[in-house]
Amino acid sequence: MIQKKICMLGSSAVGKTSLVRHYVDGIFSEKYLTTLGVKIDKKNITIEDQAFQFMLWDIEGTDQYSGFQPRYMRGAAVLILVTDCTRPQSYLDSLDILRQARKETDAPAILVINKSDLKAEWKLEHQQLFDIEKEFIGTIYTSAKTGESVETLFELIGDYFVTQY
Amino acid sequence: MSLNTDLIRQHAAEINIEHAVFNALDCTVLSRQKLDVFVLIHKIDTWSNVIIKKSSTNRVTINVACLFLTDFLIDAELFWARNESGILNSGFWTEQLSNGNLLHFEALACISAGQPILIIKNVAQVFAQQQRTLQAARETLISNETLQQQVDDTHQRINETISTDSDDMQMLKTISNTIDKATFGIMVLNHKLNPILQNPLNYRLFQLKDPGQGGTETPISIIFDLMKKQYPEYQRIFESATQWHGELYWLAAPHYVKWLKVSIYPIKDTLGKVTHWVLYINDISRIKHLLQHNEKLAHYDSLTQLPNRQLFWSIVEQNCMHQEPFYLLYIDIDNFKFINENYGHAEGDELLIIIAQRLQKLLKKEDVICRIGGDEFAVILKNVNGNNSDKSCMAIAQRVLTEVNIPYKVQHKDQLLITASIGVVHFPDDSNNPDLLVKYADLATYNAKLTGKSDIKFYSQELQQKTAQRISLENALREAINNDEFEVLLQPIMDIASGKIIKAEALVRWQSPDAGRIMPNDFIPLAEETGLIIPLGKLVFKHVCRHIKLLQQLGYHHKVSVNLSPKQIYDNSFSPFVYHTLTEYDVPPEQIEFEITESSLANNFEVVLNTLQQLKKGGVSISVDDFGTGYSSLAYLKRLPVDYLKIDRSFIIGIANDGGDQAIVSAVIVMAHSLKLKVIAEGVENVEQLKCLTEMNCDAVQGYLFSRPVDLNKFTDFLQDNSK
Repeated sequence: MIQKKICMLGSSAVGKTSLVRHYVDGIFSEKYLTTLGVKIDKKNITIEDQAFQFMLWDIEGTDQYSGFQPRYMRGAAVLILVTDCTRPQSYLDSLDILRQARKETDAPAILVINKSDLKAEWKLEHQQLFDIEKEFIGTIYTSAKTGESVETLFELIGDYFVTQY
Repeated sequence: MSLNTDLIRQHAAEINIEHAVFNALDCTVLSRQKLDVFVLIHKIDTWSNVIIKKSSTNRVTINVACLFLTDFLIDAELFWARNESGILNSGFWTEQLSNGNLLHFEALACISAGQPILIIKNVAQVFAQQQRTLQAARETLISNETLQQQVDDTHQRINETISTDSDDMQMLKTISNTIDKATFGIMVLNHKLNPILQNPLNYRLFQLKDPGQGGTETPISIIFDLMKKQYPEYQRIFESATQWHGELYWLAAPHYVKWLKVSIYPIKDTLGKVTHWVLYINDISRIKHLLQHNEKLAHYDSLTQLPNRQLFWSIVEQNCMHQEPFYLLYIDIDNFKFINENYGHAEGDELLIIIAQRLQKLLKKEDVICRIGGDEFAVILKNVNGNNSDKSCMAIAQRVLTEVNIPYKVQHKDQLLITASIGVVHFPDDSNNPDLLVKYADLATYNAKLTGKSDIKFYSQELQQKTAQRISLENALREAINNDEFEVLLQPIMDIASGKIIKAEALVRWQSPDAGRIMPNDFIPLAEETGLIIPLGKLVFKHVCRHIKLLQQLGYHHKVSVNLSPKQIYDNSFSPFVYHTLTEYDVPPEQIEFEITESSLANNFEVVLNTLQQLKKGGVSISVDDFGTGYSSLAYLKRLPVDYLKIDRSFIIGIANDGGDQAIVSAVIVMAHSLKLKVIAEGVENVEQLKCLTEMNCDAVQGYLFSRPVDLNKFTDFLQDNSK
């Protein structure tokens, strides 16, 4: 089994923990409970006969109360940058977080636009698409609440790993 | 006998106290014996088995399932190896038990009496307390962000309505519909600052009766009154018709105390004349209350204890408000990633603390230094003396650079040299808007970084234009690489003894559909800075392979040399790419030569050596370009798998009549031959130069005397003539 470290990054309250909870335990809670520090969950997945163990590092949201922690990037195989489609600022924050992460790791990054069950307050515009093309290997709209594309997100990552072998 | 018993009793009592303390602190304490093996000093029975596993009597290992702790041990090992005082803190992490319960921990590494110690604390109480505080703080932060977004959206709608609707009644009706739904106070004033429309929420914010129900005070009269008292520039805002954002403190003793965030926007007609003002009023008392009670949490960086970005903004805004001139210095530590990668994050953190201390020592009491990003600091310099304050500020900035440049001792052995880039902006000369000041400081730093490391740049309009041009050129270059707008020319290299062409150097030109032919000096440095040199280099290499293939079909099997940039050398994918492409085009590696510059050797020699050895192993040859202009270390040269030295054109220009140049070139040729290297002289433009080089036993020459760089057709003609 190949172990892969996946870092969940983003500003606070974008739904990083909820995505992990949905993916690992299949549950969702409406109540927002802020993450402190790090919690690591594991999930086994088999893609094209290749078994992987995903180690999901759910990292406290980066904001004015908690700075970016470079040491958590060590050994990351993929970075998941989570944004909230109802908060345009969360997209800008994710670019800033990625900029800081890039000082530590070249691991590929995926942009996740979460809370797609809610009315989107922002959509990707031309410049943003251009930025995304440069910075991310993929973009996906998810909802940890309805489960929309949560599995797909991690399958995409699995597919990406398979192509690396 | 009695003394011994007393000592034993005393010792036992001390041990008991220690254990009682550890129990009270809910700590498991381990002493490191060797890598991954610890001796148990104290354990908490209720949870220690989650973290540690007994391996033999009294010896334990860390449970491999504790991924976070296992990862922290990498930093801890480095920390212990340095044998330093202090404590390395892991930060909080959470472990989930099989029954779903959560445990929250923090690990501390330290050295006690020369022994590496690992302390694992159950932080359940602190965690819960901090989680409550942060929960509230973050919820407020998000509602504030959402509120600001709503203000921006509402303002956009109101602005559009006022600017486009010529029918006043219709306009008021449309706006009225918009503002009635808002969850914050909105007022539309006419150009004389009289309210023409507002939502009822304004009255509730100030605990006033609704309009028409009596009372002399109105929301706008209270706001103007507060502004007059709390913001001396109040008049100027309306006179200069500028946007304003500020916070007002409203005290209606003894019952009401509120913090209000007020945004004021002018609405102008097509000629720029103000027709209306729109005010947005938000009650931010809750966030203010929270921040006041968690000032440390909200405003200081936990690593350096310096004001954080949030406080920095607030200080900049306050200074702008007080209208006192100041300089803002943005300090960006160069290549910080290298330190983290090579010495570990604990070392990186340690360096940041030292840098912060050094900067603090340098500055006056009234100056402020903040940590505004991972490796970014900002300094606000007040009272910069002298008639030429720019000059004084420059002197301070230079002192900052000097201080940062003092070598750091890392891991007790290496001396580490750190440089920084500084951008400087002045209030109010460059701008009186905090956002713009910070933006300009950032822009100046960006430009300081571009000119190389350890530089200082003051913001100017010209700098801004230059940056815009650069960004535009970068986009064009990216597009050009996508569209393959490049042409690769060949310049022959002649063997002096036979007069025959022995190889050619590939030189790239950008054929822009808009700007025509662009020379390498105008785009290669930019490609280097932006990393576009990697795709560009690959594109050029493919062109070269195509050229070689076509020449082969005509019966010519000359070698072509290709320039390699330092970034390409450090790119792991480059060597595999080369051999994949050679196979794809069926080009033998012996027909390829890579030219590296001396400056490539200046950093990370071992990496360069490794890459060149990999390339060389496959059969290509290597030459050192621009020899004599940079980092001429003969010791390095001896170790490198190099075949040719190319003497820089700057030594060739004066070779016919400059004794100094003659001596250098002659010495280089002798030295190269003794190292079994061949020598090529670049930039040969006349017969006198060629004569000198021939007398000095130079092996080959290249320059306009023989041919400029030419396209493949002309090069083929040249080969035909030369072979006669």
